Parts: sequence; C-alpha cells; structure tokens
Amino acid sequence: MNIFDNLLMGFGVALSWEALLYCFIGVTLGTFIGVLPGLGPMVTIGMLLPITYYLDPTSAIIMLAGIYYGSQYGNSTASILLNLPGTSAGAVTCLDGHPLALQGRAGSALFMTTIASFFGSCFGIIVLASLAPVLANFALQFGPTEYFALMLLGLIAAAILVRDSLVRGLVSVLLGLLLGLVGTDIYSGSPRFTFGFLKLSDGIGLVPIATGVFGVALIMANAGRHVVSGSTEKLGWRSMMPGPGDVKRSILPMFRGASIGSILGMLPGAGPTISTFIAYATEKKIARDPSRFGRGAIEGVAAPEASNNAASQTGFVPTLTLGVPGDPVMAVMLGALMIHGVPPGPMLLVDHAPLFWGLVASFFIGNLLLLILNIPLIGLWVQLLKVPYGLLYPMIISFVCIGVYSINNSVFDVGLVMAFGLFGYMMLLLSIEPAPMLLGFILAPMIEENFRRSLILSRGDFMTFVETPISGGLIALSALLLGWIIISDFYPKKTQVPNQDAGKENSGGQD
Amino acid sequence: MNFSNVDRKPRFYKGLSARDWITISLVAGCGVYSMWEGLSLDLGSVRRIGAGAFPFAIGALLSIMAIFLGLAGSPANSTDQPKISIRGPVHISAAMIAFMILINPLGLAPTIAIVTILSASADRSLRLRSVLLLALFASSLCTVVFVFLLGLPLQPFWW
Repeated sequence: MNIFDNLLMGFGVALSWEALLYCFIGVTLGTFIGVLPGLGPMVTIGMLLPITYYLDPTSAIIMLAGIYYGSQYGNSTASILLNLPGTSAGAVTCLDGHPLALQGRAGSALFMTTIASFFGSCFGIIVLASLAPVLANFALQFGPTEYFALMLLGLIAAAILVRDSLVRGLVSVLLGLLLGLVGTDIYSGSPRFTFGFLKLSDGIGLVPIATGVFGVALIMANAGRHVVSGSTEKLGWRSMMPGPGDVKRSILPMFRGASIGSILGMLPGAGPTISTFIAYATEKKIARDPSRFGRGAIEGVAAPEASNNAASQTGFVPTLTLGVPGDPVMAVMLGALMIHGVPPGPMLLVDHAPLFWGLVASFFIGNLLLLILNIPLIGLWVQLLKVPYGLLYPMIISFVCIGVYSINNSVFDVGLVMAFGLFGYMMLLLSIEPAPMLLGFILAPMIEENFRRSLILSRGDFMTFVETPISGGLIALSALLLGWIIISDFYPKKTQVPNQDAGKENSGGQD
Repeated sequence: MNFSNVDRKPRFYKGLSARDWITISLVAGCGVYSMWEGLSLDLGSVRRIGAGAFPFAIGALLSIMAIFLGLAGSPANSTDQPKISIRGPVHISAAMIAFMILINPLGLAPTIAIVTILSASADRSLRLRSVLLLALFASSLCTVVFVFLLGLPLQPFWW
C-alpha cells in the first residue's frame, strides 16, 4: 500500500463521529490550556489519562494528541498580549510578539501566528506521514544494543534542555533514572527503593510524577502570588488583517521554521521548545537588518511558531515507530499507548495500521479545527486571560486529586502526587529543570532492560555496543555530546540566545 | 526578556551560595544512598548483570555530578532564583491531605468544597465570600462532571 491508500484508510477512521468528537474536544482543550499561563499539555494529559481508560485506544490517543498540538496554537496568545508565555514553547514568541502588541498590532500578530502554526503543523504532518514508515522499516533491524544506544543519546540530549547548567541537566536525568528503578527488578524479582511500601513494588506511576512535578509544584510556587493580568484590547476582524508585507515577509521564515522544527522534533531529547530558540536565532542571523528583532519583527513571530508546531507533529515519529519519546509530553503519550495495550515500536504501523493512519489523518482535521478555533474565536480566548489565577488554581488542585484518585481508587497515589509536588517545588528552588528527569524516569526500565539483555546476548562483552554501525555511531555521538556538555559548562561561550527563564515564574518549564 | 552575556573566564570556584550547598549535599546524599542500596542488592557479573548494578552505577554518577556541581559554581541566573514561599506549599499540601483523609468518609462534594477552601486560602487577596462561592461552584461542577457525566465510581455524599 502506498501512502495515499494509507491516508485514505486513516481518514476513514478519523472521520467517524466518535473520532471527530474526541479530536474536537482535544484541540479545544489544548487551545484552552495553551492560552492559560501555568497550565500546560503535560499536566492536562496526565490528568486526563485516567479518564481515557474508558475510551477505545484510537479515540483516546486522538484526543490526547489534540491537547498537545492544540496547546502549541494557544501558547502564543498570552505571549503576545501579556508578554507571558502560555507554555514554555511560547517564550520566544514574547520577544517580538509583545512589541507588536504594544504597537497596536496584536490582532495581526495573532493572525500571523495562527497561520504560521497551521503551516508548520501541515509541514510536520507531511514529514511524519512520509518518514514514519521508512523509519519503522529501518527500526526492524534494531536489537537491544541499538535501543540502548539510542536511549542513551536521548537522555544526554535531554540534559542539554537545561540552558543554564548542563551538569544540572545530567543530575535531573540521573534522578529520573533512579525514580524509574523503583519497584521490582524484572530479572531477579528483588524489590528496589521501595522503602518497605508494598504499593511501590509495582513502581511509581507516570501520572503521579508528571502531575506532581509539573502541575502541583508550579501551583505551590505561584499560589498567592499576584499574577499580572494585563489589559486586553478588543480584537475585531479588521484588526486581525495582517499589515502590508506581513504575509510576504513571513513566507520564507515560516518555511525555515517548519523545517527546523521538523528535524528537531524527531531527534530524541530536543522537542518544540528548543526548536523555537533555534528558529528565532536562525532568522535573526540571516536577516538583512537584525536590529529589527526584539522590536516587533513579524519574522520573529512566524518562524518560531511554525517550528514548534512542526516539532510537535514530527515528535510522533520516534515515539510511535521506535517507542522512544523525544520530550516529556511524548513520554506521557507513550505511557498512554501502553496503558491502552498498544505497544509502540516498529510493528505498530503494521499491527495497528488503522490507529496510526487514523491519528495522522486526525492531525489534519484537528489543525483545520484549530484554524477555525483560533481565527474567528480568538476574542473568546483573550477573555480567558482575565480570569484571576486565585480562582483557577483551587479548581486545578481539585481536578488533580480526583483524576489521580480515580486511577486505582487509591489515596496513596494522591499522597504521591503531593510528595512529588513538594519535590518538584524544591527542584524549582534549586534550579534543577524537571523535564529531563521525566524523560529519565520513562526510559529507565527500558534502558536497563536493553543494557542487560545486550550483555547477556554478547556473553558479557562490552564491545557489542560499538560493533554494529548503528549502535556504535549513536554511542560515539553520545560521547561527543557529553564531552561538549562538560567543556561548555566550565567554559561558557558568549551567547546571544534569549534566556529561557523569561516568564518562568508564571508558566514554568512545562512544554 | 534578558540576554545572558556570560564572560569567557572559566567559572571554577566562583563561590557557592547556601542554596548551592543544599543542592550539592542532596545530590550527593541521593548518590551515596543509591550506591549503598545497590551494594545491598546483587551486583551480579558482567555476563549476568544483577539487580544492584544499575542503582550502584547511577548512584556513583550522581556522586560524581555532586562534585561537578561544586566545581561549576552557582548557575548563571543565580541572581533571579525564585523566592521561597511557604504559604503555597503548606496550603496546597494541606488541601491534598484533606482529600486523602476525607474522600472515603465524606464523599466527593463536601471533600472538594474543603479542598477548594484550603487551597484558595493560600491567596490572601481573595475575599471569604468569593472563596465560599468558588467552593460551591467547584464541588457542584466536579460532582456533575465526574460522577454524572463521566460515571467515575465515586460517592457524591456520605450517605
């Protein structure tokens, strides 16, 4: 079957009433949480995961994915209007988006970000649809050594997510690996790090960690602080029209942004947030007049928005075909697939072809819905920014408690969320980024299993990791990256990269 | 939006704040503890790696990282590290503990009202009236959405 037959089959799945409904719910919810600073896709997906137990796998994944890419549309609204990113992937959009709003051009900036988001997403979906089958075929040759090497590379790349200190990133990854080891060892059956709790012998669930560290911790930090809600102007159809030359000037940046995002989205450990920084830096570097950037250049809005949307679509390539997530949100998505009995990996495209192609088709539909949600209805989302945070976070806490409790009807899990909330708050105070930790947590069991299996197969010969070209190449890349991490941490270069901490106090490090 | 302009000088022993020392000792503590846990399990051999090998190795790496943390000094943004707030963590934890204790004896609706009041009281700017209204709204919303619409197996009230 060629790609068109497959897509046709996918649309057959995605155009069913049920799939359409869940796609709509997903993207609407995604825009909602993307707009609100302090509530990201991570927390929302973690919270909704237990509710999707009652759905069939395809609808569940379509909805959860919709939340993820939908939030990439919404995050620019708060960036432009309030200079406060809705999620961390929107931080770069503040740089030129807010100056545009100050010049009274918020409407056209919002219009251009939506167009750029749509363009980036479509670009990403095409890359996903054409590359996923190729990569899945390639991945059939992967043995335990290749998987180990790939995950090692992913973990090291995740440590680079932390821009201030790469050593802190590694600490975060290692803490995540430790948390992932909690539970019963699969080879020997001996309990590890259970501290005598019988409940921990199955390991710590993904949902308590994700909601605790990403959701509750940020609420703990922000509750009682006055979050500035800026004045929001009225946005009519007329103000949405892009100014002269805006569209023409944005076409090439959108194309470059989408290409950068597509590539970075597929690399393990990079993800949408990193891609926005690189897309912005690229535009600034090749611009004829770089001084315009930071004062309201439309290219500085279009390129990063195209790139984060492209990255959030191509992020599904490694997650679905290799079973190796590229960023923490993808890790939760991977968990969702496994909960529903769909093992991600090269066989997914064969064994669950309707699910995969249905998902790809639903991306097209979801992005069309987002276009409708974000252009005529933008005023609705702007109103949302006026709700005071003090009324919002007690509701979020209630939802978190109910959501987590209902997974196993266990108050112990609620206690775990609280403990991880406090833990995450401490990490925030100590400047240790939580995102690499979550990736480490997810990959820990897989990386250990593949490592041990490789050594059993090679009868204890460590050379097995460098003997095959794929695994050897990945290990070499990891070593180079690690060397670069350590050197650059001691000899920081003069950088002109915008600080990722902008607005962190309110939005947190969630992607 | 600030741009980080770090000078080219290596940052050895740039001075460590109290917060850095806490970080280093916690990381080292985790490292040493997990090495100890690894040793108490079976390390195994190269041919058949035991249950203790990974905890030991990760613990060793964490301990090395603790040393690196000390060498690297304070993070670049150490001047604008977040302020410590006690109210937020205390109130939110209290609300979640209340949920754990009350959900079974009291049922969903009263529990959510109490959780909302406890967590909202972290924000001193809210008036009592709006907190009570919010509690009423949250508990009815949660009851309708989770019990009636989604059909989760939760008791709305204790009877």
